[in-house]
Amino acid sequence: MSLKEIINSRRDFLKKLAVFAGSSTVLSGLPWWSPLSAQPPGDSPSDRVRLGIIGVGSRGRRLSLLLLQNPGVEIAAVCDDYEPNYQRAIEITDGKAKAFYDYRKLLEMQDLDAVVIATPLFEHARMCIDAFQADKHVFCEKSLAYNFEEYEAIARAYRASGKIFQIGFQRLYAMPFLKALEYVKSGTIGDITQIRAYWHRNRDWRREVPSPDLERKINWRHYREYSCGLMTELASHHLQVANWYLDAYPLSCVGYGSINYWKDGRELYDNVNLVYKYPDGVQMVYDSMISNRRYGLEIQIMGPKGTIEGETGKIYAEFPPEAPGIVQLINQLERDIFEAIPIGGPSWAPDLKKDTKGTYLADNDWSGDGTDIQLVAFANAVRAGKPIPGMMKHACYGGIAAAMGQFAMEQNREIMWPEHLDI
Amino acid sequence: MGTRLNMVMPGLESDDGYEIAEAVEQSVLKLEKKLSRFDQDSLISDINMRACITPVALDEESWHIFSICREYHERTSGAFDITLLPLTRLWNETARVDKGMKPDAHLIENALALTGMPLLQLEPTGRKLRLDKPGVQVDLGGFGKGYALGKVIPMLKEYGISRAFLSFGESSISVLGGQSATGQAWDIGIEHLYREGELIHDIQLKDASLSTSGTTTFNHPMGKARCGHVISPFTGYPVAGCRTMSVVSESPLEAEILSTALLVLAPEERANMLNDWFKGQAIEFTFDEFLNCECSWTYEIAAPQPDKCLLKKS
Repeated sequence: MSLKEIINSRRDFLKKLAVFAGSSTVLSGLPWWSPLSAQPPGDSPSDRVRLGIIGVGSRGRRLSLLLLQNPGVEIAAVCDDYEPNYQRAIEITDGKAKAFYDYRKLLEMQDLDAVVIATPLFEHARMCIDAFQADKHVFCEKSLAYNFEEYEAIARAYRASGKIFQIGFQRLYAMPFLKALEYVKSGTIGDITQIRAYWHRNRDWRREVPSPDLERKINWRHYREYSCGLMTELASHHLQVANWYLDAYPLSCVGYGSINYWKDGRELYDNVNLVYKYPDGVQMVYDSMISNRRYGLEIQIMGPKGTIEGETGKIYAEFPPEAPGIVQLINQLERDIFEAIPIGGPSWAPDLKKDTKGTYLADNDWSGDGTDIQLVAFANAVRAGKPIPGMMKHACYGGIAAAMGQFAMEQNREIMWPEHLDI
Repeated sequence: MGTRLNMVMPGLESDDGYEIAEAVEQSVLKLEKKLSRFDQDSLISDINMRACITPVALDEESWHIFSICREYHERTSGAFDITLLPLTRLWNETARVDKGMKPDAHLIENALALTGMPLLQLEPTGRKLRLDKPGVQVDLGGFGKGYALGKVIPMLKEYGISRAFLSFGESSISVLGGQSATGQAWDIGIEHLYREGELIHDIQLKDASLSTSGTTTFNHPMGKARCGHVISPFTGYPVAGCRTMSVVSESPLEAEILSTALLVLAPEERANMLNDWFKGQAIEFTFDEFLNCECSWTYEIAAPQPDKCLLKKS
């Protein structure tokens, strides 16, 4: 399929998405879905938003490829300070985008509407702030920032700029998680009493390094100077979901972490175990490791009436309806009545929709993991010049919670939510 | 096992009840993990995938299970057979028996050639199971519920439970003691095959098990049958007619095995098969095209404690 054909089929997809976003009662209650109700863009160049991609590593490449399929987007500039990524960015955009090694030069482009930032964590804050100050709308990958102060600084720059901001927490746009929210809000599982989440892999989580002097640059996820490792790169996703469903941020956090398997010179933990305290006595238990993948990843939202497993997209009822004969038997026992119970039969078909096999949250998976749709939402918002409400709050709550976990493990103490921050 | 286990234990503190229920649940789930063909990690799935290529090692309990299956196959003159899956699949997936649609005769013959207990070899050396041909499959569907109940009952006794009602999908029932503290038996009603809630018979149970199987070859405008068909291992075709077979025995496993095996055998062959070894009762009901039913066959040889197990005609 040619790019033109892809773009045409994408236009159909965007039309369907607009109809769906406008018709769903769940989605109409979510402000960050509102940009998706917009009609797809036409062919005129003025319909296209001009984006710059800062950071074209693995994530930046994926985002670029998705954006290239969007008929309403033009990738006008790319930037990476690592030569192979720089060359790849030029290739992906067919040499049409202006290429930079220094993001500040990219920000100087006056005809650029917005930037997509997909660089290592430690660079997010200054890039976001510089972009807002250069009058650009910003999409930034998660986690948003490295420490509490950076969150405050980004939030201030965002407010001062009046620009649009989107964070790469794609579960906000993934259908199973949206259906799960509906079940949570409608009381189907009762009040949430605990959330348990985990993310397990079994690989060293390293990238190949062409020469030793590039180790820290390429494997930045393993060095404290650049990242909070498992917490910011993985845990922040599930912390964001917990904050979202509980409509709160964690009050405090305790935990332990260590390097017990991948002892290859890395500084950041290869296994983490944390407990987050939320209001009303609700706790979230989180663990992550990269030396065993038996259990994969999951977030379990638990209440007295049921459990939601967001990643597998299923809901389980605590109390499936009793077989009618059993109900009658119990009633009779309680009243000392002795009559034949209509229970012996050749077979009884269990209600599979509510039994231990669980029920799927969403009957379609066209939303994928949400990454694609959140980019469409960002492009639409930029085109319309309307903000995406709630995004900075999700970015700060999820990211700060992840950083709190890292601090709790490093400092071996309970870390409280930074109430003093102006975010 | 694709179904639900209900337990009713009167006169128990709820905390104790939950503790026991949890222990029973763990034990049954462990068994299911081993015996279910729907779980791709189960022993049965492993056997079905590769025992035709290389013998599969069995643990002590699994070895015991397959030995019991073999023994009951012999006792029931071949009517109980755990290798019928190719046939049941063929009939369930390619035919609508209730609409008179049958698979092609040659397909039935091919599937029949893949069934039969002689194709399942138990090798005592190294306790291994081998399947003689690719395509031979094992299914413990007509065995698992009875076997599980047989494990749960002693567990309950160990917890000091003297009165309990256990129902596995309502087709396999076991009771401990009586329904009342004074010893009145549990009164179990056999339901009409087509009419929910309508009782056609009742059975008084004390310290015994009841299993009911049914076979139907038609649905009726006035009611949908509560079961599918039962395939005969002898012919490869569904057992004719529309019938239920209820068996009462001290052993839940024996009740379950016989409720299906008796349906497969012709009435005149049944008593001969049972006479040597079975103690208990069995009753068959046959439904006509107007959904009227009548008792078409009964059998009773007193169990060791006859007063605890009374069968009465409706």
